Amino acid sequence: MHAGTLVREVRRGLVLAPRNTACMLVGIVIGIAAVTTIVAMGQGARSKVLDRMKRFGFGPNVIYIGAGGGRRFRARPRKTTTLTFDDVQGLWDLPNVRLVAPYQRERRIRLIARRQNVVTRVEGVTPLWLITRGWKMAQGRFLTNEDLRARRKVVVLGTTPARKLFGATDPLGKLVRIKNVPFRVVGLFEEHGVSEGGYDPDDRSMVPLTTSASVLLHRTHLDSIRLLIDDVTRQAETVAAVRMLLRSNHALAEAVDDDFRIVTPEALLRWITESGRTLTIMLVLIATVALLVSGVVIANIMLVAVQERRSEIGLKRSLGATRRNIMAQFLAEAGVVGLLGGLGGCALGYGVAHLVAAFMGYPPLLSLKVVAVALAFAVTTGIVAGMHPARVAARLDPVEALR
Amino acid sequence: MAPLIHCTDLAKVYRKGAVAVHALSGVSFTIEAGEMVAIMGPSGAGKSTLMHILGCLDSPTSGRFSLDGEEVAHKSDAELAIIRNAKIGFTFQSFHLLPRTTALENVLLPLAYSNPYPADAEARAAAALEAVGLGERASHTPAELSGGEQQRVAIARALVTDPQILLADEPTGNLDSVAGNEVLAIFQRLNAEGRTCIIVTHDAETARWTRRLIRLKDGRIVSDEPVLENDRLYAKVPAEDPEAPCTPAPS
Ligand SMILES: Nc1ncnc2c1ncn2[C@@H]1O[C@H](COP(=O)(O)OP(=O)(O)O)[C@@H](O)[C@H]1O
Ligand SMILES: [Mg+2]
Repeated sequence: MHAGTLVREVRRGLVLAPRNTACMLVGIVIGIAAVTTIVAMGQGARSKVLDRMKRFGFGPNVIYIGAGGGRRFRARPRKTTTLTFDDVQGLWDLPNVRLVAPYQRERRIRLIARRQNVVTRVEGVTPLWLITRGWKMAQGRFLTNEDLRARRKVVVLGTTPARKLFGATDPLGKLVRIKNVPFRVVGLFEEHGVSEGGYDPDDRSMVPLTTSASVLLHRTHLDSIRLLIDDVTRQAETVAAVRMLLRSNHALAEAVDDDFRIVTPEALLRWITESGRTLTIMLVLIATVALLVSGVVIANIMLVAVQERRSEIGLKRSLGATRRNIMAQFLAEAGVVGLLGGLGGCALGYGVAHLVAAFMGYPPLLSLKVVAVALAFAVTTGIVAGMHPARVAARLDPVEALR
Repeated sequence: MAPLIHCTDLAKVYRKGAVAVHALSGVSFTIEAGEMVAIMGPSGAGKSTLMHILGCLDSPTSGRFSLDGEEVAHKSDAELAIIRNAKIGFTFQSFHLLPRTTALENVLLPLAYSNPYPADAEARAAAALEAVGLGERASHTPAELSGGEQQRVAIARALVTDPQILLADEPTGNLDSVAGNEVLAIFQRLNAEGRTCIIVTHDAETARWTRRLIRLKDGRIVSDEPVLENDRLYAKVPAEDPEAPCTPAPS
């Protein structure tokens, strides 16, 4: 059968019965939209986590200790007050621990320069922070042991607050008021740029941990501690030692859960892929149900359409169409319904994912691969659903059909 | 040379449970290339059944049927489709045009099933429409055409593959007499140009436009004779001048 005619006949078949076509499309659009929404959300979440990991310099020799129990990676400030400077002391003495970098922060504090002010993250750290992250200075210097010991009121700025406070002028040596305390700017970080996930690593300012504890945050408990270890192969035993130390420091009874989280890159990855697996199973389930339903809808509507189009089928047979020609036309119509429905479903799914994402705080991601797989599923559903009606159409006795 | 159509003892039996309907029995005849034949009989006589068999849309229950020297009775579905496409042009009482589709596209349709698809398909479709006097109406849809014009589009569609045989089942059944006569005049002219025409009808007036009349009753041939009074009419429609006015047969 001539390809151009097939295209024209398929279009004609779909356009001449708009209500049938619309019903068939709705089923498959909803099915594919459900699946793409979930995939887009899942991929968005996953890419955000991976993105963060990279930003945080989370290499294989890193062990992260977060305040508060549970399994989540992200720190929960101020809920738990048990992770303290004492723990830091103990950690330094553990074998295989190369360095210990304690950390406390407040997410939103106003920094005021002479004319401008800006709300940013204020972090109390030790000079080791720079090593654990591998960050570099654009200007000036990072915090020193001297700063720490003397509780100096000095601050190192990320480019985001620096730009807002000082514009193009050199911030070094300028004064910035934080909670009404004047701090001198001693350094400026290199710019890293906003991540795909919308996280801005440059939106921060750093003061000596001793200063933040005594002057700004008025607390000695920490939000997290980062360890670098010497021998990566002994990571497991080091983690065990860390856990034992912290539990005994925090005087946790046997039955009580940890009030801290120890996160290693492996554990994090495992957690991501695990939740990925549950998501995948859920997806397959939803996809199966959705496509099954839309397949049944398409099959039924097409079966009715075949009866409505008997005379067209009879006519074409009388003009020389073979059973295969008739079959091909109905299968092609079903396939095109699948394709259009798949495209619509992807668009709708992406839209819904964007709406949901507005609440969840990370952008949805829809890779070309997912779109291709979704379209393949949609077309397959259409064709499989069209199989039976197409066979019925092809088997119609032309004489009966023309009557 | 073998006759164009040769039937021997054709029978068609429809079974509904225990009841057997003998739509055709013992039908034998020969039609030579270039003939113009009417198959006439009352409703239920088996005319359509016979036409479907002659058009390779249906197979007889028994008997032999050869077309253009080839035995057709036991060919496969795909082979019959090729024969229908290449050698037969159907016209039906109810036109069977695709709705909301232009006359030109309707006429193009049979070529879609030709292998290979002719490179000059559009030109051929346009020429076929020209041949039925609808060259100007190529872009009109059936809803924009009168019944007579719709049937003429259907004839153009039957013509477009250049078939040897035109088969028409009650082609004037849905038309008033003026439009009907126009359609019959077209068949007459096509026949004068050498194409074999077989027109099924229950109406004696229609039959008079042909040159041979086969009467059917209860599935059997009751008479098969030339239509004599018709010859005068033929003289009035010279093949060279398709624009000549067509006069219906005198009553
Ligand atoms: N599919 C069928 N099943 C049963 N009987 C049929 C079928 N088709 C036709 N017939 C019967 O065969 C006879 C001839 O039918 P048909 O060829 O359509 O007659 P005509 O065209 O001369 O009116 C009629 O009695 C009709 O009822
Ligand atoms: Mg009939």
